[in-house]
Amino acid sequence: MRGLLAVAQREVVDRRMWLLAALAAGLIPMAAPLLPWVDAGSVAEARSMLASVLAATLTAAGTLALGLSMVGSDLAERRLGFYFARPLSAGAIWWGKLAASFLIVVLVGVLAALPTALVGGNLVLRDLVGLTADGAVLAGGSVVFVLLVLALAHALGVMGRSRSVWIVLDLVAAVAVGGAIWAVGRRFMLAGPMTLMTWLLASSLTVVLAALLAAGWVQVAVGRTDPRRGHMALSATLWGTLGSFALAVVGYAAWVFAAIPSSLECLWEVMPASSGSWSLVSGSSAGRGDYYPVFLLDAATGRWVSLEPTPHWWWFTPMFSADGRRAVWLQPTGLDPSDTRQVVLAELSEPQPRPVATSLILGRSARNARLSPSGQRLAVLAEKTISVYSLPEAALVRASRLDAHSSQISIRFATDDELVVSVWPETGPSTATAVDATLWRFDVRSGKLERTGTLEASRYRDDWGIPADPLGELRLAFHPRGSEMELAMHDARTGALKASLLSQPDQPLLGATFLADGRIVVGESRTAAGEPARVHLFGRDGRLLRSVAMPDGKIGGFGSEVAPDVLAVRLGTLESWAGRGGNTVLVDLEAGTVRRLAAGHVPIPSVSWWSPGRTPATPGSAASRLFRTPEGGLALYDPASDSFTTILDTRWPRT
Amino acid sequence: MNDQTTNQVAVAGFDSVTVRYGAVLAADAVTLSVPRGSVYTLLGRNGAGKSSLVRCLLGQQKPSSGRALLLGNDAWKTRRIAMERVGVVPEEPDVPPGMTAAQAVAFCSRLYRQWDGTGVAERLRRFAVPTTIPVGRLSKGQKGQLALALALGPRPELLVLDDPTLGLDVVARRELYEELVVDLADRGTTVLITTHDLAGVEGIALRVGILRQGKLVLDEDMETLKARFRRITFGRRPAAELVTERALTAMGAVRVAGGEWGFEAVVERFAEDGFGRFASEAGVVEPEARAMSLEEIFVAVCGEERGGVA
Repeated sequence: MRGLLAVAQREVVDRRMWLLAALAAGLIPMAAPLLPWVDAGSVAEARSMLASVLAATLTAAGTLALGLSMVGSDLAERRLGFYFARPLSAGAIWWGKLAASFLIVVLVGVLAALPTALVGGNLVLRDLVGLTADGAVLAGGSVVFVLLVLALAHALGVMGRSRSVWIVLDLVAAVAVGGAIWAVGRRFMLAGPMTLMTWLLASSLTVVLAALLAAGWVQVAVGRTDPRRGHMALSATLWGTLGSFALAVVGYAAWVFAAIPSSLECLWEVMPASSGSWSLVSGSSAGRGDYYPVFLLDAATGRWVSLEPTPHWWWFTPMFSADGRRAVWLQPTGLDPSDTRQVVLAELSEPQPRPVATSLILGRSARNARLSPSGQRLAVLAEKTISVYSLPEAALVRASRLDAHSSQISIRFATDDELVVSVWPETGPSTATAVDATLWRFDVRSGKLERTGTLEASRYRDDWGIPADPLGELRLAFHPRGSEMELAMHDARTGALKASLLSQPDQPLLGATFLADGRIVVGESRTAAGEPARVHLFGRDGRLLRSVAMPDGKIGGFGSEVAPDVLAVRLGTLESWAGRGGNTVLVDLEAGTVRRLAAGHVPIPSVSWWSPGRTPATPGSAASRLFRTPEGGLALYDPASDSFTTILDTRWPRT
Repeated sequence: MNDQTTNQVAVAGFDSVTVRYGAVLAADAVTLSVPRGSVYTLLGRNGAGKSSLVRCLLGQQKPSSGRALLLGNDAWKTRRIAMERVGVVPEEPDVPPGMTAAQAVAFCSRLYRQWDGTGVAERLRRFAVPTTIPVGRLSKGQKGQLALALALGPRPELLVLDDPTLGLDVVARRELYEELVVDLADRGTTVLITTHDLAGVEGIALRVGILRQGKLVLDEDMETLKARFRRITFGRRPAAELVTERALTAMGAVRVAGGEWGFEAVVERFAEDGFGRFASEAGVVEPEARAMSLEEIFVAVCGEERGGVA
C-alpha cells in the first residue's frame, strides 16, 4: 500500500497541469456576461451551460489522454524501469497510476464546474442527478464509465505503442468477441427478455471492465519494461477473459434458445385452437430468467413447434384457423418493436410441422391482424387501411381505406369473404368509456367497404372477453344502464338490438360465452340479494332455455364443452392472472345437472383478452378438454373415465 | 546453480540464461556468478547481450530459459523484495523528466526501509546536481549522477550499473568512478557493471566477463586475465617459420601479424618459462613480451578472429 500511495501521489503531482487547466477552464464561464449573444436575463443559464460543456469536455479529454499515457508513455520512452528498479510491486505501479488517473479525472470535472457552482449556477450535470431517481446510480455509472475508458485507452495505448503484429490478432479477437456478444445480444433483444438482457449487459460491462483492469495489471506484471511482451500479456489476458466470457454467453444463449416444452417450469399462457389438439403454450423455464419460450403443442401427440418469442409478441400472438390445422403469426424483422413484420405460418396437419416464413412483409404500421376461418386469408389493419392477403399466394387480395375519423378500429372475419369492422370515436386515453361504435362491412370479393350500422355504447370494445359467434351473425355487448349492467344480443353486421339477455348490478359482473353451436351461455354470480350463482343458457333468438344453479357463490369463468352440452365452469376467484385458483364443475346443459371435478383443476378459458374474436372450441376436441392441474401443470381431461392425463409437468407461476 | 550456495558466495548470477527475441539469440546459456564484494565487469560489443542479461538480473525481463539469480533467488519471482537491497544505474537515465531531483529523492526515500538521506544529499551537492529543476532539463551527466545518488540511497548490497558512462564526458566519468571507489571502500558493495569504457573500469574491476554474440567466452579474475594475456613482438629468420608457429600456438596465440618490421602476436596462455623457451628457439630474434590493457585484451578476444602466422 505504501508503494501504491507513493506511485499515485507521484502521478498526481506529475499530472497537476490537468488540474490547473481545469481550474482555469472553470473560470471561463465567469466571462459569460461579456459574450455578445448573451443578454442580461440569460447570463446564469449561459454560464451554467458553458461550465457543464467545459467540465464534460475536459473530463472526457482527460480520461482519454490519461488512459493512453499513464503507463504507455513510460513504457514507450523506456522510463518504466525507474519504477521496476525500486521495491515496488507491479500491482502498486498499475493500481497506483490508475488510481491517480481516476482521481485526476474526477478532480478535473469538479474543478471545471466549481466556480460556476460557487456562484449558484444550475449545472446541467446537477440537473441530471436531480432527474435520476437514485443519484448513487448515476455516480456509480460515472465511476464505472471513467474506469472503463481509462483502462480501454491504456490497452489501446499499449497495443499501438508496441508496434507488434499482435495488433492484428487484437483486431481479429475484437471483431470475434464483439460479434459474438452482439449476435447474442441481438437475439435476446429480438426475444425480449429484459431481465436477461439487463443481466447480459451488466455482466458484459463488468467482465469487460474487469478484463481491461486485469489485463492492464498483467501487462505491467508480466511485460514489465518490455512493450511487446507487455502487449502479448495484455492481449492474452484481455482476449482470454473476454473470449471465455463470449463463449460462455454464446453457450448459455444456445441453451436458452434450445428450450423445449418439457423445459417449461411455470406455464403462463395456454391458448388452444378452436378445433383439433394444438395449443399455444408459453411459460418460464428454470435458468432462463424472463425468457419465455413459446411453442405450438399438440396435446394429442406431444409434437411441438418452437416459435421465436418477440417483445410484445402477445399483440401478434399466433392465430389458428377454425379447423386448427394452420397457425399464423407475425415475426418482427428488426429490433424495434415497430419494425416491419414477416408473416410466418405452420401447417399443423403435416407430420413434422415447422415455421415457414412467407414472403409477406407487413409495414411498421400494421396492427390488428386477423386470420380468416379457413386460415387462407390474413386481414391487416394499418392506420385506416384494411388489407386482405392470400396466404397460399402470399399476395394482396384486396385493400380499402376506411373513411372514419377515429383510429380506434377493430376488424374480424365473419367469413373468409367478409370482414366486420368496428370503429369507436376517439375518447382520449381511456377506452373504458362506453361510446357508440359504427359498424362497417368489408366485402373481400368486391372490395366494397360500407357502413352497415351502429352498435350502442358498450362496456368492452372489440369483443374483449367474449368469444365471437361461430356463425358470424350475432354479437354480445355489455351496456351500462345506470348502476346496472345489461347483457344484450345484437346483429353482428348492423348492430341492431336483437334481445336483452340479462341485467345485473355492475358488481358482480356477468360472464358470457358462445357455445360451438351458436347458443349463448351467461354466468350470473351471487347477486346483491343473495341469490345463488347460476348459469343461463340462451337460444340464438334470446330466449332463456335453461338456468342451472351453481354450488358456489361466484363464477370464475367458462371453459369449453368437454363433451357436447357439457360445459366446464370455473367457480371462485382467480389467485393470479395466469389462472390459478378455484374449482371446476361440469354443467350438463341438457340435463341441468352439475358435477364437481377433482379439486384444483381449472379449465383453460374459452377466450382470453389477447385472443379477441376467437370462436369456441369444438365440443369434445382436445382443445376443449385442456385443464390446469392443481400444481399448475397442463392436463387433458377424459370425460369417459373422468381422469386427467398430464401433458406438461409445470407449476403455477409464483405470485 | 544451488541457491543456498549462491547465497553464501554470490550476490548475483546467471544459471544457463538464454534470451531470445524471436529468431535472434541475445544470450546463449550464460552461466556466471558475481561473488560478494567483487566488482564484476561484463564486457561485450554492441548487441552482445549485456543489457538483456542486466534486465533479466533486475527482474525486468524473463529469460527464455534459465534463471537470473539476485541475492540468491530467482530475480523474476522475487524482484520486489530484492530491490530493497539493490541499486540500479540504468543505461539511459529514466527518472521521470517532470520530477525534480528533490522530488525523485523524496519519492524513492518512501519506498525503502533504510534510506541514506544525508549521503544522497551530500552526493548531489558534490556532483552539483540542481535539485529544484525538472530532471528533463538536466544534462546527461547530471542525470547519470542523480541516478547514481538514488541507486546508493538505500545502501545497497548490490549495485548494478548498465553502461553508466555512456555519453558522459571525461570529467563526469571520472566523478562516477570516484564515487564508486568511495562506496566500495566504505561498505564493500558488490558491483556489476557493463560498460564500453574499458579504461575507466580497469582500475576497479576485480573480475571480468566477456560476451561474444550472446555467449560468455571469458569469465575470470582481472588479475589472472591480465597475467595470461601478453603482446609478444619478435623478428624471425627465414628458416624458422614452422618452429615459431608451433611455439606461439603452445602459448595460445589469438592473433599474429607480421611485416617488414617483424612479428607481433597476442597470446592468451602466457607463462614466463614458456616464453623463455620461445625466446631461445633457433631463428627468433629480439623477442619481447608486454602486458596488455583490458581494452587490448577485449579487442583481442572480441575483435578479428584468430589468424595464422604470416
